[in-house]
Amino acid sequence: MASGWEVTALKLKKLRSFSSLDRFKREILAEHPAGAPTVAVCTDTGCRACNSVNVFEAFREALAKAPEIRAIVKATGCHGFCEKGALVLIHPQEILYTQVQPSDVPEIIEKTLKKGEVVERLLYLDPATGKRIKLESEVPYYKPQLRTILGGNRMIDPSDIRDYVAFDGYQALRRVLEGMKPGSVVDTITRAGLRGRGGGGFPTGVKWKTARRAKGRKRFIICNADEGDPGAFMDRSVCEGNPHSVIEGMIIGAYAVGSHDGYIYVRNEYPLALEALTTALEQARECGLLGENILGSGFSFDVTISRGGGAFVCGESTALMASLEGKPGEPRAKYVHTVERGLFEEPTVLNNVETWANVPKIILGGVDWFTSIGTGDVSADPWGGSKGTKIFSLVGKVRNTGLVEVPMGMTLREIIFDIGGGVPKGKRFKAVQTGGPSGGCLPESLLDLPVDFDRLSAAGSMMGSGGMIVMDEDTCMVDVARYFIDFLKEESCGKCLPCREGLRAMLEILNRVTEGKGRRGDLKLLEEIAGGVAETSLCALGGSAPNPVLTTIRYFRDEYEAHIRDKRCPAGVCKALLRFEVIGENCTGCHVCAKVCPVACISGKAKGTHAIDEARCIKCGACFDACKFEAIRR
Amino acid sequence: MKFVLNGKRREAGPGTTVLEAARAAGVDIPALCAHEALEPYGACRLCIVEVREKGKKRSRVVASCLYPVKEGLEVESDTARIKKLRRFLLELLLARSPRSPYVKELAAKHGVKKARFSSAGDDCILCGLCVRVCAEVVKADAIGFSERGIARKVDSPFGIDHSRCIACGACTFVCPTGAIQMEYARVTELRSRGGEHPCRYTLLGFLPDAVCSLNYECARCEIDQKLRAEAGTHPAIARALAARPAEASRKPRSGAKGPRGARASARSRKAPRKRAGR
Amino acid sequence: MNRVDSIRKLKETLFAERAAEAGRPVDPTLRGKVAEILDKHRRRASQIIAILQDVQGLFKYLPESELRFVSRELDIPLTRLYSIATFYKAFRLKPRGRHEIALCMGTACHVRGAVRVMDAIIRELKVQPGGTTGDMRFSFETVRCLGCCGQAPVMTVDEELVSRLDHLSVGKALEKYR
Repeated sequence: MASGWEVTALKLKKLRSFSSLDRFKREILAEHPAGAPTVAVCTDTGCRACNSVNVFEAFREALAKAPEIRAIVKATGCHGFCEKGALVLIHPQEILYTQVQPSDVPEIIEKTLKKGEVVERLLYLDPATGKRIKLESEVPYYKPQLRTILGGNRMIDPSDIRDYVAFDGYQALRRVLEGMKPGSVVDTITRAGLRGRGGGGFPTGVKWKTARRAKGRKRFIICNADEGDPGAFMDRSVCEGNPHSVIEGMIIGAYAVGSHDGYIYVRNEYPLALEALTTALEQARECGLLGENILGSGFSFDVTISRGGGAFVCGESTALMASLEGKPGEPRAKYVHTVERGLFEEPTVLNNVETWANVPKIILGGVDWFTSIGTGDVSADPWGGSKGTKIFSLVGKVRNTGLVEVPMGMTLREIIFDIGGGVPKGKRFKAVQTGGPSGGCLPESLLDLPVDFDRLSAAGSMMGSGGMIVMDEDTCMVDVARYFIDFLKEESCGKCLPCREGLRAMLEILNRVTEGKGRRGDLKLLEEIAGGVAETSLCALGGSAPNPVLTTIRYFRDEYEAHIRDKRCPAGVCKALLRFEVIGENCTGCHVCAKVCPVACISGKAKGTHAIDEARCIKCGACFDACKFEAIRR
Repeated sequence: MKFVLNGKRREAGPGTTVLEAARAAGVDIPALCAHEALEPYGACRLCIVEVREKGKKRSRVVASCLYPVKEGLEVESDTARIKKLRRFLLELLLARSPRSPYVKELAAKHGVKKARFSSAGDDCILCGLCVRVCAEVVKADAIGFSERGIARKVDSPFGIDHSRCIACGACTFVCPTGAIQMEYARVTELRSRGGEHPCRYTLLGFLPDAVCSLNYECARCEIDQKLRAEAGTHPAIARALAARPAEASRKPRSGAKGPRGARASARSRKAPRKRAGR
Repeated sequence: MNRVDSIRKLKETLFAERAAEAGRPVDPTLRGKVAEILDKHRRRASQIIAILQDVQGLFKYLPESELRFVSRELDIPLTRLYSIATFYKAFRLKPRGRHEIALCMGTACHVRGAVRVMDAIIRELKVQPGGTTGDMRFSFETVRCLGCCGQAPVMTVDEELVSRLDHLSVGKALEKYR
């Protein structure tokens, strides 16, 4: 996907010194000054589903025919507000247009680009005030956010390194290579308090320090882009929208640790992220920012991209390394850490996409800036706080779904209600699931918990990689527990006894409970198995598997008991416990239910009371949703 | 290195695992998937112990077959926590293989009589000994794991291709439950070929050139009997053990499990199987 | 000849027939491309997953004959290739339908009703997850999280992403592929 760089004389060339990087940046800014009129169309996978590619193409064609407007259009990465896709941002005014269609493009060009006026109907409508909002920064979704990492997606075209360089790209690398010793880079990252964003929260600086000291013939750097947590897509968006930020972070890390070989392990299910990273790597090589003698510094480093094979367990570091070595993704015990013996038995530093993306920011912004954001105190102890921002994927039963980047320490309530806009359709909030399959479900009473590495763990969940799934009164928590155990059972590598057999045993119990065959003592047995699996499993997949089950039992015990004792599903989800029937007095005979029934099991004459044939009913709930007279009971 | 095991001070050389050190000290830690001749695998988790590293406050539950002894380590192999977890693991094992006498015996020994969950009814406990012996000792790579999770099983490629199997019987020898038998299909195939029938010990490299005259009924074979008597164990395993450098002192102990070859063995299963050493 | 070689030679003669039978290429014209793939990855065993993915890209599944070819060329035991091909769910060992449907069953999609959509697909196409329709037109599988949680529930049909599905709209979405 091209940008305003299509027609330019400025070609990519190998930069052999720091000053040549500076010169390159000046040349780029001369061609495309920072404040020039730009239309940034989000073409992340999510907005593509909202036809954003055609919006981009419409702009491109129209602007090519109207050079007098002097605006360029860019296909950028995720702007975060996925609920309102396709998103278009107009620079330099910072006007945000939502739910844009290709047919809207001529009007935007006419009114906004030519005359500087807004197209009212495309502006975000704030449901609280009923007013349309013009500036992106004023939109309630964005106001509380601090988009250190995602902010780049507002104006960078990921397919062109020149855009990245224009916005301070590779300046951090320059600073490091020109004026910092490797040990000092490690020190900076340690003092900044950067902790792993993939879920583990291990202090990055400490990891790098150990790797530097470890004995080995060579060292490896790995970027874990195997974002497997269902409901999380932060890493995908960073890889698609700003791949160079990750690459720059990796080069700096490699320099700090003494590595010359890097890998990026991308999930198989992310083809666009793979493409974006591949293109970025090629361009970086062309510019001499990767490969031999980077920027003339004498330091050499290059990166290989590897695709996953469709295994969630390969997000675990040792399984990922096994996969890179060409074996099945079976984890191994970490009694000897991977920083000492990892990939091919050599010292290896593995970090998450978001962690790598934070590195150049810290180098440029400084330790004081980074530690001013977040919670706790890391001056004496790198584990003492959670510094910087975190990107969350706010999804599920929430009005404003999308990616949210906020300082660590913001509360769940602020994220879900102030930014997320609360639960739609007038439903009641029930729970928020954080941390993916390793995390747990937290109820309404805990909404004022600040979100960081440590506070959610105390409540039984964890922040994890940042997935935040909101659930409302129509979600059955027992079904959610069953869902996660089913997921983990499918993804378990099967090597160790407790995870393989224990998850199967837990699923068996949960299946029985959701089918109305729960027995007394099932909860206790479930808790016992969960505890045993957690303590004896080989890796963290089994080790954290009990969390969804234990938190739902802890905070939603009454739902379990309704299923077991009363054979009832209060949320109306578990099919075996549901029965749909027509309430005679309310039925008006409008026949709408019969029309939507997929198996045609509702009979009735026009204007007469209808009836559901229970024997054929598949409990899909379509009639219940369709009836406007509350004549169907569940 | 000095460390503490069950309250007593012990010493161990570098590179020793907790399980090895415990066995050397005569402490019995059950371990299903560990074998002298094979690299530790850590799959059965039965060898778990509680360890506390020097200077740390809390203890961890770790697999002793893989955990390296460190200076100042404290190891407890029989705490209440360990005993409870071991029973939990054995209950899961029993749920998987309720009919296997070996599993029933092992479980009963630790106080587990029955499982509270449904049984899969699979004698194979996925300990991996067969796959590992085929890959590491015999180096034939004839069988391997396929699928993953609960569907994981030991298989030859596509379930039908035994071409790399040399019918050496090592897999059957190490299998604790008898779930794997030397591939009868393979043996039959080898038998049905006209012409040369190479002796499996030729294929293993023990003999330069021998042809099987007994139609692969190795239990009747003098070569087989002689090699096993000399080695005290399956010859391929004996050779692997002998090839190990600084462990010449470790010999397969007596009472080693005998072979369960292609012929249904009349050897009674009543004698307790000694898992320690082979 | 050392021991390893003599064993190998013996095995080869014993097993030649079976291997030849299963080794006959599914499409001889593509065999050259498979060799190219091996060269592209510099015949490194550690790259085997990437190699298999490229081979699957050619045939839309992994034919046994090609696995045997790769096994011979790279000297990796077939057992190990079979382990890898069955461990990673990206690989299929059977031919697939003309159009591939992947329905996301991630948490966000689940919470927004993906199960109903799945039931609808099963009903409409009469195919179970992991299977292929009788007329070989559709292959259907469920996947965990396509990363489009903002538009849940989602599915992909070949390269196209279809979002905000429900059990009524999924039938219409599949119409154009019938």
